[in-house]
Amino acid sequence: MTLYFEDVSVGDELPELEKGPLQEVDLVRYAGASGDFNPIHTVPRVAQSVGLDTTIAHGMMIMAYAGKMITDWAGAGTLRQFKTRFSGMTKPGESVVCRAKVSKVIEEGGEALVMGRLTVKGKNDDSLKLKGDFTVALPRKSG
Amino acid sequence: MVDPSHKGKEFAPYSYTIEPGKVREFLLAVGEDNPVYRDSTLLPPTFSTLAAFWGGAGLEASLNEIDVEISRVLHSEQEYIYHAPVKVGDTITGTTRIADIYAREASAGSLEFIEFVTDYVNQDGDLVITDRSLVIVRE
Repeated sequence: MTLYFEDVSVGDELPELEKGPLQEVDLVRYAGASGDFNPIHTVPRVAQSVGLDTTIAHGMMIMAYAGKMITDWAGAGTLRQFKTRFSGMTKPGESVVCRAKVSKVIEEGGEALVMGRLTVKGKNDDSLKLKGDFTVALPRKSG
Repeated sequence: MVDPSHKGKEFAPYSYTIEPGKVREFLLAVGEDNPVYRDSTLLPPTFSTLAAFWGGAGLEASLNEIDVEISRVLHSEQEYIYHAPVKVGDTITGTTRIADIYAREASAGSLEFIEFVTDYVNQDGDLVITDRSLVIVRE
């Protein structure tokens, strides 16, 4: 179902997206798929050597979850800008919840733009994993 | 210490052809089950990370060029600006530069930040994505 510009108001919440619990093998799989073989994500001994107690998920994997939340709502190909700050580490065993809210709707440069702010938090302890913002361009009902 | 004279450094451009099999592997790895990505040539928002890691020598080699070991690096911020559509089958070429290098004192000790900016153009030479990536180097 297409989301139209006219359907969106400031303060609207996007449908939440929950992921997890993450397994160690999910991190290995993301490493192979993305090509990011930084061993702190897959090799506990290396993670421990840099002061972590275990491997940590790639921030980009968590960003991909947030991106899925946005395009599940707004539609694929609608993003114009997408930014995240990685605030906390996500470890195997954790589940995360992505949430976002519309902060601004404007028409600019011939496009109908919707901006929003998002967070991803740990499901059990509400710890902040990342926060960010995004802009999508939506179709108008009037065409 | 990251040598601050690397600020402004531009790395060799790299090209990446967006192969459907690799995209499918990526979709599975991030649990992206929206059928639109299976039934069309559209791509999920963070797909260009594939080009960054598989297209050229990769982040690890770029970091080696400036004498930084990858296991000391954490991702701090990531931003994408989408200028024009990219679809499965396109070949994109990225040129990465170091936009900034700076240090900041934190409770964990001195942290160093490196900001990489990559502009991707498609096979027609059109700018499609700007990727801004801020990483932290732990001492």
